[in-house]
Amino acid sequence: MLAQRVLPVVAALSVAMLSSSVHGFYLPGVIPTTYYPGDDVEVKMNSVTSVETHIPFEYYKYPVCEPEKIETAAENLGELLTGSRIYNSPYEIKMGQTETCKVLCKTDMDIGEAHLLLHSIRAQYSFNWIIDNLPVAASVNSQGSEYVFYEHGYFIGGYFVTETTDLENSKKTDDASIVSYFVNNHVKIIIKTHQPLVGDAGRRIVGVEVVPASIKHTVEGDLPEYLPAEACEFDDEQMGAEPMTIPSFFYDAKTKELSDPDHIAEIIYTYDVEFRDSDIKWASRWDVYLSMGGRVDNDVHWFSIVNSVMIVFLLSGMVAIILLRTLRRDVLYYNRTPTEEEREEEREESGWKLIHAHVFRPPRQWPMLLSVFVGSGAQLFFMAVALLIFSAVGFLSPANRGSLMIACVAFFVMLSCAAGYGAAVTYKMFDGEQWQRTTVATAIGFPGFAFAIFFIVNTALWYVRGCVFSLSRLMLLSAVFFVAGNVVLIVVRCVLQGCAFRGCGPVRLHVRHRGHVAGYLSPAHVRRGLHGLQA
Amino acid sequence: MWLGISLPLTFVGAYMGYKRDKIEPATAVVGVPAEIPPSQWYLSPFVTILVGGVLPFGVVFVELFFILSSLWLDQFYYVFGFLFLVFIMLTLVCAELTIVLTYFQLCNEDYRFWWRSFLTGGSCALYIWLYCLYYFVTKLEVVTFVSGLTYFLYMYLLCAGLFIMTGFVGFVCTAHFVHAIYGSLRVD
Repeated sequence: MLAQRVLPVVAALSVAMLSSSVHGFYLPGVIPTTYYPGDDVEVKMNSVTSVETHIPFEYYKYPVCEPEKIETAAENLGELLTGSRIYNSPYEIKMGQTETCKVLCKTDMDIGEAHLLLHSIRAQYSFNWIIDNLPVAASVNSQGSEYVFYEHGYFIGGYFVTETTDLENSKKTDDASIVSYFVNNHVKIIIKTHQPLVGDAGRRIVGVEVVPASIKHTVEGDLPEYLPAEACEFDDEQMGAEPMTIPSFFYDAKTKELSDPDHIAEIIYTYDVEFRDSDIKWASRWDVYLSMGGRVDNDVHWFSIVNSVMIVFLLSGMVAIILLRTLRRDVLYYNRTPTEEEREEEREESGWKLIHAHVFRPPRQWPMLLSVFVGSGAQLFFMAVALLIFSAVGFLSPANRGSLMIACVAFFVMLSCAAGYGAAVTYKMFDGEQWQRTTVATAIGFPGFAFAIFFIVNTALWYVRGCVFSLSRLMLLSAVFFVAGNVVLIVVRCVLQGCAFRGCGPVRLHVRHRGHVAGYLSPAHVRRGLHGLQA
Repeated sequence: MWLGISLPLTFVGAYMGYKRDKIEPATAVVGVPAEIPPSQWYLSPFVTILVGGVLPFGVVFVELFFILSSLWLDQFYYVFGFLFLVFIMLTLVCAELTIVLTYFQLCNEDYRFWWRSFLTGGSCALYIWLYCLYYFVTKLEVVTFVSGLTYFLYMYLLCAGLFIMTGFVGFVCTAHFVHAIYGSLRVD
C-alpha cells in the first residue's frame, strides 16, 4: 500500500534528476538574456571576500572608482543572509564593443583606505564581480598542468618579497620579507559569448573572465578617456612596465607604524574589454564554476555512494537476521503448548522478552528535554528532506544566489508545526504533565540557539569591521530579538497562569470527564459567592 | 518571521499532538523498576553510543568535505542529487544501527532505551564536529580570532542540528521497532 503510494513519487523524482543531468535542463524561472550589439552589459560588485579570514567587506570601502550613485543591486533576502552586498559599478561595457586601455577614473587614497588595502592584500582578499548573473572568474596559472583553473573573483593585489624568501616551504610570509605591495588597478575583461541563432545578431554571455594587472600610469594634466594602448601592456606575471605599488610612505615594511597622514596617493584605474566567441551553450555556462575547475571529478562522489551502499546492505542484513531470529523464537515459544520442562527453560532464559513489563517505562531523566529534542529533530529532518528534494530537482542552484538560504529559512519556519507535533506526541507518550512548558521549550529551543549563534557572529563581525558594515541590520535583528523575547515571556506567563491555551491538551480531556460545568458553578462564581457570604 | 509564523505553528502542531490519542505501550508497564544486570564493557552505554556514530559518519564524510569547501573556501556546491542519496543513506544507516544496538541492549535486559537510542543516532554529530576541527586545522588558513570564532560557532550550529536530526531518526525508528517486537509478543 505504502509502496504503491511512494513509488510514483520516487519515479518522478528520479526522472527529474536524470533529465536535469542529461539535458542540462536549466533552472525554472531563469530566462537567458540576449544582448544585441551596443547593449549595455551591467557589471555588479559583490562583497570583497577572503578565504583566509571569512570576513566580507563592502566593495566601496576600498579606494575604487565609484559610480555617480551607489545603488544596492541585491535581489533577495537570501543574498543578505549569506553576507552578499551587491552594488552597481561605473564600468561601462557595450556588447561587441572592444575597449583598450579605457580610463575608469582616478581615485585619491588616504591613509585609512591605504591601510585597509594593505591589510586586505595580506589576507588575500579578492574582488567579486557579477556580470549577467555570472560570477567573474580569474584563471590561475598552475605549473605543469594542462588544465586551466578558475577562481572566483580576482585578487586585489599582491606583494613583492625579497629574493631570498623560500616561498615553497613557508606558508605564511612574514612581514620582514615583504618589499612592497602592489594593487591590481588594470583589468582585462574577457566576455565569452555564444550566438544561439545563426543569422541573428543577438548573443548570450556564457563566460566572464578577468585578467588583473598592476600598471602604474602616469598622466599629466587632465585625465583622457583612453590611454595609449602601450600604456596598458602587461607581461605574463601580470605586471606593467612599472607596477602600481602602494607608496611606501603609507607603511614602513619593518615597523608598520603610521606615517604622515597628510599624504594622499592617487590610483588610476583602467580596463580592457574583449569579446570572444564560444561554443559553450548558455545552459551549461555554469559548468566551469561547478566542476571546481576540474580539480575534483565526480568519481569521488560515486565512491562515497558505493561505500555507503555497502554499509547499508551490511546493516540491513543484520537487521533482517535479528528480526528473523526473534520471529522464529516467537513461533517456537508461543505456537505450541509448552511442556513443563520448556517452561522451566523459558523462565531461566535471559533475553529481551523478560523485560516486557519495563521496556515502555518512560525515561526517568529529562523526559521533557527528550521530547523537545525529538520535536526539533522532526522539524530539521523534514526541512532537510524538503530542501534536498527541491535542490535535487534543480530549483535551488548556486545560479539562483541566496535561494538555498531562503528555502532553508522558509521550510524551517513552516515545519515548526512538525516540531510542536513531534514534541507533543512524544511527551504524551511519556505520560508527561508539563505539556505547556514542553511546547514553549520546543518553540524557543533550537530557533533560539540558532539565533544566538547568528547574533554572536554578527556582533563579532560588526565589531571587527568597525561599526560600518551591518549596524542597521544588527539593530534590526536585536530589536526583533528583544521584542520577540518580551512577547515570548508574556506568552509563557499566560500559559503558566493558565489564561491561554486552556482548550488544548489533557486539561480539556479532564474537564470533559467531569462533565459540563454550569456558568454559575464555575470556580470564579463560587468564590465570588463565598465572598458575598462572608461580607 | 519566527514570532509571526513559527511560534503559532509550533502551538498548532502541539495542539494537534496533544489532541490525538496517546500512543499506548505495546506491553503494559507494571511493577517497580527492575534491576538492570551489569553489562559487558562493549555493551555499556558509553561504548554503544560512540560506536553508533562511526558508520553514519563514514557515510557522510566525503560529502562533508565538499560542503565545508563550499562554505568556507568559496566554492560552489552543486551535486544535490548526490547529497540527497547520501542523506537517504545516512537516515537508513542511523535507523538500522540504532535498531541493532537497541536489540543487543534489550537482550541484555537493559530497558532504558529511550535516551540511549536518541544519543546513539545523534552521536555521529560528535564525529562530524571532530572532522570540522580537523578540517579547520588542515585546510583552512584562518588567522584572525573572529574568523575562527565564526567558523566554530557555525559548525556548532551545524553539528547541533545534525545531532538532533539523526537522534530523531534513531529515536523514531527504535520506538517503532520496540513497539513492533513487543507488540508481537503474547503476554499472559
